[in-house]
Amino acid sequence: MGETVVVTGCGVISPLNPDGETGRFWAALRAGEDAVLPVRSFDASAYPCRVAAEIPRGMLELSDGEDPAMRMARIAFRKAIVDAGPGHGSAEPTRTGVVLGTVLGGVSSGDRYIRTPGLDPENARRLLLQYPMRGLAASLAAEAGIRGPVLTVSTACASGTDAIGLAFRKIRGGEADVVLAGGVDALCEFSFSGFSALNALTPGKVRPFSKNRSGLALGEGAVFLVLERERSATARGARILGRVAGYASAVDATHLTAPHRDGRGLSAAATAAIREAGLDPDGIDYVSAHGTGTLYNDCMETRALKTALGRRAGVVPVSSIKAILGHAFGAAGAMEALACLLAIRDGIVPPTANFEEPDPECDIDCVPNRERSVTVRAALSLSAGFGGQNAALVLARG
Amino acid sequence: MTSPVAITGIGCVSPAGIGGRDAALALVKGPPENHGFRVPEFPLEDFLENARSFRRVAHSTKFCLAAVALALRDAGLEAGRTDGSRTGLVIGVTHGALAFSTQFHGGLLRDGPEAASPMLFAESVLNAAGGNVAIAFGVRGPVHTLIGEETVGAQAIGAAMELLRLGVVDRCVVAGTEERSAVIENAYRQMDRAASRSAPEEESPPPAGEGAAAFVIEHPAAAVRRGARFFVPVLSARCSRAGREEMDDSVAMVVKEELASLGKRGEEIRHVHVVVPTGRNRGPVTRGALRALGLREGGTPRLDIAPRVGNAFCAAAFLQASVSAALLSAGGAPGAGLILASGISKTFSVLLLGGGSPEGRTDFPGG
Repeated sequence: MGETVVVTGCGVISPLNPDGETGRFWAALRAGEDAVLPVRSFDASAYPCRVAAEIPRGMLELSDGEDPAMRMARIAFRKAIVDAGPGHGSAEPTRTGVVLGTVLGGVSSGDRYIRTPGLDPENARRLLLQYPMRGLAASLAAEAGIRGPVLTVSTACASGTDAIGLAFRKIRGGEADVVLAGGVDALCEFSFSGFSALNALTPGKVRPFSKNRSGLALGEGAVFLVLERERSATARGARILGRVAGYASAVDATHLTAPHRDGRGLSAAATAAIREAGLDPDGIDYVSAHGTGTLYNDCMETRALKTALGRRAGVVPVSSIKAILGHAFGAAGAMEALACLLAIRDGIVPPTANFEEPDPECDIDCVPNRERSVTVRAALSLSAGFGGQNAALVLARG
Repeated sequence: MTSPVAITGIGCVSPAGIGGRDAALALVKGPPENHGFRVPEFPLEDFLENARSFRRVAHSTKFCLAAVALALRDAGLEAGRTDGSRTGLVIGVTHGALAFSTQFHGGLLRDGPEAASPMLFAESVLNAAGGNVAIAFGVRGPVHTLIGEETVGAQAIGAAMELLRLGVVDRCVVAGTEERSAVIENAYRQMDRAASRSAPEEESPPPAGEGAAAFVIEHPAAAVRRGARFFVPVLSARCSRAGREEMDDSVAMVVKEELASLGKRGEEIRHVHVVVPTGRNRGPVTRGALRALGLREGGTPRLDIAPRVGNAFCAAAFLQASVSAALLSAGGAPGAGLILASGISKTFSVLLLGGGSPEGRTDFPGG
């Protein structure tokens, strides 16, 4: 056992709260508000599916040439620092770190570069250097005077979950005292066209675990959590949102874009994370599912839950907030981890919105359409993605 | 951060050659060749039995697959000889498969959404190399792709050390890969022009290169137990960022701290490798390191592969580390190699590899 790691601050910007207000984010999740709407940020009329969950670009107040993902990450990062309250910065700068998860990086900048012939050299250089988003985490660290470990992790749609997990390990293992960890991705036509080409998008509503589900909708946003050693958080009188109690990741090693049919990697990650938290399946009171709303994912995830939780899989509340927020790529796992922490805090789990028809192959309690009061001592948050990536976090009461 | 782990296998794919430790040494020996800073074409069948399944992958993934196959072969851990669920994989990437990304994009813009290729999209995601390597070699433990500058080499090795130290895996494959693309060349050409205008005294950076290097990393005791033939301890892998002080001061301080934590003296460093391709940070990083080691310019061999094979971004740091490991293992003598890396930001990394042999156990922490 290493250090106990607690969460003392959060910042989130999403289509539900373009203003970055966490209270608004949580209220909309609980109410099951649907942020998936017709695409506005580009002309999607040529696509068979034309919906996504977007943050209005006007609300981001982008400076000239600024990548939207970078802007979102900065907003969430700054909000998280303020939310953590005074004193978290008293940790040594070399013992403070940043871990950022992203799938697409600055692909909006690449999109703009390729679409804009004749760019002047300075703008072309800036767009190209933003493309892989290699410098964002370092830039955020510099802004906050952070000089400890700085990582950018890209594990497809598990990136946000892995970022929090790696940050947890850096504190637990003694390498850092405080780490800001989260995920970010912004929607653009490049990513939209890719998922469209893969026939993964829904033409209508996202309906995770419903028999009539028809695919995912893309989303966007950014989340940062402030992870801290419990001892120092308690010493400075910080408000503790919850604990990161366990983390694990595992890959399927079967196919680049399709999950293992039985969820081999996801169940392995879930089992290991629960074990690391010192729990057994009975200790899990809520599961935040990856729950994309695609035919294959939701069946795979149900099987993985049955493997990892045994008989508990049929009774534990499981919900997917992707019905509300769409799939925010690298931010998704971090948004879901935050939802778990808020569920633990308030004793309320958000619903799986848009649920219509039970699917015998997804025979779990997916909290259909209405929030539910549940005493949550510990929650399991699951993510999966391209490359056979799977990651699991256990969040617990502080 | 120190941890008792060791490199037990090396694989190198570079414009100077493809192979194990010999290919690593070829990066610093002999005259430069006219290879255009590109990896020569090679059949993946030479490295993978199931190569046909990977015939459509990006160049960066292909390089990585070959490098990992070579590293596993060097370590005596060919496919089927290990428990995949106890094996981890950490991949370092700076730009990824940008050629595929731009090809996908071009098709979309030219011919519309119906022409968008699902294969190009899937193979251009930043973790495509990691996903394909996991499939090819049956890795089923944690697989992480880290994105960053030249410093990502030390970050990836540090992440592998952490996985081993925490007991999450028994062995970890670490690799860095990068491919040349027109987009990258264009971006850095423009950046170099801007840099040469602002600091004309700095030496010109090398042209963009490409390649991959991979390592197998294990607990020394486990490696000795299974009779590993090759053995270079990883003494330290640390990243830091210069604050208000100058870069050279910051580098000197971190190198001194790492040496002190290992109980080492500057004169024990046999080779210094500086992986700083762009002009601005190169001088300060070198000066900082030499000051920390108590050396004058020219006092310790400085080895730089960039003039020979170009700047392969994060892969350059992995290739430099492979050179250091190959040199240290060749003599079996004590001492250490220091690999310093920095990109265009104020971030830098310090990687220290030890010398000796499993039998002698020189510089063998925890052995």
